[in-house]
Amino acid sequence: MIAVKKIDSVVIGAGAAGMAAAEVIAQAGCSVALVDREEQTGGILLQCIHNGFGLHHFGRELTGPEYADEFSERVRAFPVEIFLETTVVNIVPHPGFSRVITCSALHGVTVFEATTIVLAMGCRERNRGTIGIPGTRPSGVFTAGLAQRLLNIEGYIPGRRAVIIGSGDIGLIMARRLTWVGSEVAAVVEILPHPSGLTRNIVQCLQDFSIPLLLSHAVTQIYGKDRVEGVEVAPLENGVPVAEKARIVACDTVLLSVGLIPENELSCTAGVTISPNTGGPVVDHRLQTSAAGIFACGNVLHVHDLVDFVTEEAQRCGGHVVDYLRNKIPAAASVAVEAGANIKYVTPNQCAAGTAQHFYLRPLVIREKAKLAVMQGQTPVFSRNLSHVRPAEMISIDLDNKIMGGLELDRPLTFSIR
Amino acid sequence: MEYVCIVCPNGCRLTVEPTQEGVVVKGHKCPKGEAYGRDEFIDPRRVVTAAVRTSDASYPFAPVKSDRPVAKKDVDAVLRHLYRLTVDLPVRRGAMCCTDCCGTGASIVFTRTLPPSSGGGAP
Ligand SMILES: Cc1cc2nc3c(=O)[nH]c(=O)nc-3n(C[C@H](O)[C@H](O)[C@H](O)COP(=O)(O)OP(=O)(O)OC[C@H]3O[C@@H](n4cnc5c(N)ncnc54)[C@H](O)[C@@H]3O)c2cc1C
Ligand code: SF4
Repeated sequence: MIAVKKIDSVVIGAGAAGMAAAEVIAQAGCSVALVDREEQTGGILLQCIHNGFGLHHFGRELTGPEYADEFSERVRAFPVEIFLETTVVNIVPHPGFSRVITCSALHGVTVFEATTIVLAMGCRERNRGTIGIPGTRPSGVFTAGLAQRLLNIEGYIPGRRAVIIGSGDIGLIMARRLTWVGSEVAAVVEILPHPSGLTRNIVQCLQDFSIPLLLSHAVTQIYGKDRVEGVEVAPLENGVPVAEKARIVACDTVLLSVGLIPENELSCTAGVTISPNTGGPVVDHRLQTSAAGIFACGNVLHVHDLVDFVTEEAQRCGGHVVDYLRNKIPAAASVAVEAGANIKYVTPNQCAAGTAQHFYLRPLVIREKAKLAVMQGQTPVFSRNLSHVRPAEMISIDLDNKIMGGLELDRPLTFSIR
Repeated sequence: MEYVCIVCPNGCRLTVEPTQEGVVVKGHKCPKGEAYGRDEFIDPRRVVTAAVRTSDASYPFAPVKSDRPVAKKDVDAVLRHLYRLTVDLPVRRGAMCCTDCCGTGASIVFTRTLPPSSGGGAP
């Protein structure tokens, strides 16, 4: 017989997002299961042994494992049922509840009948297939996050001389980490004219070690039979690699740091609508997806650069789940939210007139001194001057009850940067 | 001299000039940035993070950090020392791994709680 457990909420993923949401739900006295396929709670934080976490939330600088440990202890102080080494394989929505099917080597198959679900599965890395670099298929090509896990958890040094493709933060952090274990980083190659990672990481991870950052350059070939032997790097002119100016850089390892994608295979099995802009579920002002009772927070919803924002969002999400369970969901008139000029996306995708709302937005441009404008058609709703904007830094803003109360119903709320 | 403050993700651009009244920092948005700019000019320092070997197969490495920034020139010595260590589990987050490491004045502390030897289970 397959065990069936009736429960108020199942939280899928015990990273920063899942732990914070589960804590809030349990604190309100609702029954909650926290499920993760790994052996420990903490998610991606456990492999991020560098510091730079928690400045907003704790007001001091923590490493990833410290941040994870603090939340693991907090969530264990509440009656949250934690299921580790347990993978959620399917979600089947029914009217009023969903079946969550899980599998574990220890307990076999367990089915939850859950009134609500919190999707908190995090994200995965883009890999060589996603960016399509030609050449041979030797060993020695890793995503930066995989290399981080191998090195920081298992102590396996991925190689002695690396080229890093992409200047995302994980790649930058790995450049320093590899240097600190005695490996050499020959170059970081970035296709864009500007770095994708935070400036502080360019300084402390590359400049500190004189690692060259090749902007507007592309890796056009990977060479090597069994193991990587080198890559061909070419400068870009008008967006096209210039073959005559290409050169070969010897290396035994290639790390890819070319972006993250929300992990939504499971969300799709539940029939949740995915936004082409964020790669995560489309959500309303309560972070509820297109499927009733299924909520989302953290990197599964949109890729965050700071864990502090993940925690905030997940705590709010937990609160919405509790309201839903208590039938305290006022039927609010909803207003569509849209990304305007120079904005990649805004979450949530809907807001409610008259209800204070928190928004996260991802800019598309690099600007010093910019203005964030929120409009309904030609009517200004809110604006704020920003000292700078960067695609690497998410913008977080709160609009209060008063501003939200002034919204008209049938016109979208548009966010743009000028 | 120009620096980018690395204390928080704002990454303020700092200009640091030696004057008769001492080192003057400009461009910081908060006092932490001022202190960073002065240190960066006089004696640049970094927090060191690493993983040290354990004697346990299920958690072969334990993450650590320096409890304060270490002079840049001493970072290599600290790392070399840490790579030579093997620690026994359990370890507790915040517990001392190495006091006054290599005479730098900084101590190395564990950043994760790991359970006593093998057998799995959550920490
Ligand atoms: C490599 C890296 C470096 C970073 N560096 C910094 C930094 O320096 N400073 C900072 O503030 N932020 C940093 N961040 C951002 C921040 O740490 C993350 O955004 C945050 O920790 C993500 O939390 P999460 O809970 O959304 O996802 P995760 O931590 O990824 O958690 C998702 C969990 O879901 C589980 N899961 C997925 N699918 C299933 C399934 N089907 N069944 C069961 N379990 C499942 C996974 O095992 C995982 O444990 C970094 C992020 C990454 C990826
Ligand atoms: S000066 Fe202050 S606000 Fe600016 S980067 Fe440094 S710590 Fe952050």
